[in-house]
Amino acid sequence: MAVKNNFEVVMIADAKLTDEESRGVFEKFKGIVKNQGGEVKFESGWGRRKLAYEIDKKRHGIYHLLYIEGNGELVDELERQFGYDDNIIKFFVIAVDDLEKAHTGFEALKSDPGKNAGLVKEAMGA
Amino acid sequence: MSKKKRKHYFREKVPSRPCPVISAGIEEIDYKDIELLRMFVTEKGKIIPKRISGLSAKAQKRVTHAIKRARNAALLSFSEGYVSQDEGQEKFSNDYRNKG
Repeated sequence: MAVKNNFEVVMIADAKLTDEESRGVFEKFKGIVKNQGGEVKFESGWGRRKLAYEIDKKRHGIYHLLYIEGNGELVDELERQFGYDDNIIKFFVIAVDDLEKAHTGFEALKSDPGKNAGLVKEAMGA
Repeated sequence: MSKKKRKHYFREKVPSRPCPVISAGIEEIDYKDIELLRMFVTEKGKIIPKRISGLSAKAQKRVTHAIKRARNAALLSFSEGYVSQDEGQEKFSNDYRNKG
């Protein structure tokens, strides 16, 4: 009966954390997903990035993405827990159609960030 | 009052250009693809309108949606558009390396 939906969870942790500490924070939220009856299908890190604007006086963040399957209650609980954690400076959850496609698309984007932009530039010039 | 007969000017036909995003074969636009999205925002971070960007209605909608998501994810600025990664690393190098 339980409805299962696909979500992409974006977490931005404080860049003051070391890599191990941030991994611990992300693991904690993976644990919450599992406890609430969800499933983490894929995950990918994006490392330290400069934020486009300051968030709570912070200019850098560690990006991490989870591709999860679960229901709406899981998302509610996850968002509540994000709010409690001071190490997470920003988060959001978006619905996706196909988890695997989203994940492979992001991995491809990470390995070649300018690929799509190049294609469009080519089409504009032609 | 007599009706004035209006003169008709024939505008020269502008050749239609194909939408760059659709013709490049990009089906879905990811909000994380900032290299692509930065082409459709101004220096001030505004979304370039469809009549100037030359996108089709379909592509413009997708781009707009992605830009709004990217802003939320702090990937694009609300007021400055694209923010380079490298330049900032040097400028603010002290504020996060105190812990390794």
